[in-house]
Amino acid sequence: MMKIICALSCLSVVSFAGVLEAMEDACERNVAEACYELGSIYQGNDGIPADDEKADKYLTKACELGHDKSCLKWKKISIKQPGDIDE
Amino acid sequence: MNKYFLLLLSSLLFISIASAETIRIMPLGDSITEDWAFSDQYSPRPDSLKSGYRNYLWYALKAAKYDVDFVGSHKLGSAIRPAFDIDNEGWSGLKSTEVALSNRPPGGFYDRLIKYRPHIILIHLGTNDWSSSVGGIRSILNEIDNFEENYQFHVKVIVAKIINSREPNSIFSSFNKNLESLVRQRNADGDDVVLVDMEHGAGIYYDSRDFQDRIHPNNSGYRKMANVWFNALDKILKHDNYAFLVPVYHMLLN
Repeated sequence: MMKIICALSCLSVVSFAGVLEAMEDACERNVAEACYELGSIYQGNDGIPADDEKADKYLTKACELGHDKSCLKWKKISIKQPGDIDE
Repeated sequence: MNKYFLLLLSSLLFISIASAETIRIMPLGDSITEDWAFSDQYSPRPDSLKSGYRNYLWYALKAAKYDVDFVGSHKLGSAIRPAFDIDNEGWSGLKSTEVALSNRPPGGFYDRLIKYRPHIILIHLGTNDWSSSVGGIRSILNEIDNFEENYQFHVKVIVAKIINSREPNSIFSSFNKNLESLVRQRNADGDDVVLVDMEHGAGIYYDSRDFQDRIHPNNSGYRKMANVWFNALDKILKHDNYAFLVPVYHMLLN
């Protein structure tokens, strides 16, 4: 029993959140640059299979956070007005 | 007179012992030190094939005939040839803010210092922070200071302005600017920290020539990083004549 508990706790010690998880955390904290990188990564070509839904989600969020390159990338350039952010 | 003679003798003896000692170097970092890339998320390479900058640095140090030992609890790169010292503390996803405050690296950073007693630590951390704050690096330096004080052991720290992403991102540049200020302040306060510039001082091309994905260098990029580390280490090991060990000597005398 002790061995099982130890094995589980050891696993939890060495089980790291990865690079992508760190970026997701940052994006959730509204770090636009992290959202942009994530969106770009999920467009494919970086060793991660393309996932249009995730790419759209993260690039849209980065754009909403005011990251111009994200807006350009997803062709969602718009002149923002106050109140547009959550559209 | 005899007292001074004995002091001189013990001084020469200590310096010769210190100079003969294998210098333990701890590479501390995240996926860039571990050598993890996004492609490993879905097609993981075995740990035995991960080397990053570490093998290139090892080859350079050995070519220069330095007696060094990489230390750390993570062992990555055993199948890489030529063989190199695979010990390190590079952990994919590691944030600088986690090192001094949590059990990451596994076992805890402070315990790793006690176990390995590195003479020199190479720090390339901050990429996973996604912040311009260098509070995490400050905590690491504080932790090293605590270790030095508690164990009367001097550690030379070489901290890097981190490489930017393939499409340069302002958040990393801001982090690096703040890191420069932090190091300046720490040295003014008596710390022994060397700053190296991986962002602009390594000659890294911020495109596919030196990157395998948006964040991680390829072998060409890692070679350039190794050059920067080597130049800093070479200066310490050769030109400074291990002067960083002198404070230990003074402690022994007192």
